[in-house]
Amino acid sequence: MDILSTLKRLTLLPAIMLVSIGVSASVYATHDDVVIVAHYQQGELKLTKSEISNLFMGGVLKHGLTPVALPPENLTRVLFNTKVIGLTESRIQSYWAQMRFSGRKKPPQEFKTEAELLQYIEQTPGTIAYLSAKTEIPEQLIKVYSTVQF
Amino acid sequence: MKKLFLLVIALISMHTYADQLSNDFTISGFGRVVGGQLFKNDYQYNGYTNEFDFGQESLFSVQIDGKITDKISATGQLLLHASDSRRSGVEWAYLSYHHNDNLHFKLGKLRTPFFNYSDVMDVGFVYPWINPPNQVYSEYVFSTFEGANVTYNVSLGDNNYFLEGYWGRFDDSVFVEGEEFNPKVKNLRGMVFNLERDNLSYRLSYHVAHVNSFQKGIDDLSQQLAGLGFAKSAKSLVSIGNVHAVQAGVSYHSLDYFARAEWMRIDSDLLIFPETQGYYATLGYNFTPFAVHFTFANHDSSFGESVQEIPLGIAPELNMLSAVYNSVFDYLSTSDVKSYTLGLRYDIQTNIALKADISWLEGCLPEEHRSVQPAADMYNQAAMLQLGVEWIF
Repeated sequence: MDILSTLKRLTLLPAIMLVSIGVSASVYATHDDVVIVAHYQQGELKLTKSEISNLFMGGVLKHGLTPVALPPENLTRVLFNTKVIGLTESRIQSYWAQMRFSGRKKPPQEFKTEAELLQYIEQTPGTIAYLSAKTEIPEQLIKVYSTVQF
Repeated sequence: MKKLFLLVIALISMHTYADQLSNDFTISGFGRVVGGQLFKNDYQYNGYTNEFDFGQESLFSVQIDGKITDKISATGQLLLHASDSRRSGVEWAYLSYHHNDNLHFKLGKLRTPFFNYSDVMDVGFVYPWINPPNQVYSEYVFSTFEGANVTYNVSLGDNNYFLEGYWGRFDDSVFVEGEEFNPKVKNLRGMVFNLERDNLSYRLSYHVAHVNSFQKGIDDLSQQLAGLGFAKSAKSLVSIGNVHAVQAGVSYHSLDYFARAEWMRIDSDLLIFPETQGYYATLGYNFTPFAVHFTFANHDSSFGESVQEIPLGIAPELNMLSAVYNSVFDYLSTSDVKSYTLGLRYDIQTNIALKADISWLEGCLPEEHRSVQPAADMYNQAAMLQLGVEWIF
């Protein structure tokens, strides 16, 4: 093997590494992970964990996104509470009760299953939701945050 | 009968969940059955005596939200109390106008947002204790008012800002240190600033009201003193003026821990409103579905001092006047109580929680059957137990 071909292989290495990282992102996505997707048509969008947390707890972001959610007993919601919001379901329920009965804001609309939720955001521009990281993301939705570590 | 009726509706409502009748019309509500006992004879605290009673704070409420147009909606809240000292009826009713996601206006009978939980005092489900600490949430604030408010909510970067301003009037009875008064409150207004960042939330607010706590006997005495040239004495019996309140609070919540602290101060020149300072600090630990918490709360209040300008020993009429004047101040008593509370909350379902709080109270506990006011330096200690079930639907 001459030096030239060795060098060629070495320059390929970063490309191979990038491809394998790309693969690993979905390979490493376990049942413990969630992705946050948005039906957003104004180009690229990445959000921080705090921005997502704010949005799902009643904050108003400049992007005009409306959050939609899953019911309290849903596993993906439990993971989202734990990994993104960082609050117990009890605290979240208390918070929304305070907001509702003081007439300030209302919690995100809830859908019974992930399939129903996915169907709704696919059809409704301007929505944002959390899904299991294993979910196949339809084309018109963009991933704005993920808990997947790789 | 009233308690039984309440209990029946309560049990029915527990099995229904926020009912979305249509997109334009929502019915929701909350309820609580709370009981407690103060382990000391002849005294009371927050309405609890040495006999277990669940009627003081048990209540049930239904809230109806209806959409009128895309931007205008109407809300009404009906409240049924088991306690005889609070009236049942429409607790609030207002129209709201959603200018956009950030800016909202409300007009009607609204709840007064003095402190963090003032506007949801009846919704026990929202806070960890059975009652928010009495040292801050004492009763003489006006729970509702008639007027308008405007709120502005915006997220900038990782911060979420919430601003509220309100203005209105109040014309109903209030309780000051357990005594009922019927003040006329005009020009009640205030500003609330809220900042939320990650799991921390800060609240600062300032409130002011013009209060007329006119009482004929005292007003006559004041005029008599003024007529005789005792201007300072006359002024010390003032019953009309401004009452100011300032509040600061911070709260932290994580998956494992929570902490909150709140401080407030009320100032006024009015005879019947003591200058008051109150605060509490709470630390809690979550072990889902349970949460345990510990709270220390303290309260410090003082009424204006009597002025000694009436010369004694000159004429019997002046001696008499001085005695009457001083006796007014003898009837003003504060009930500063320090408390240590250990509590447990158990969320048996996402919308139902059971609570148990045990408190140790130190300070001037009011007597159960008050014929004479307790002296300001009277000091007592007592334990208090409270049990409750809270739900929302």
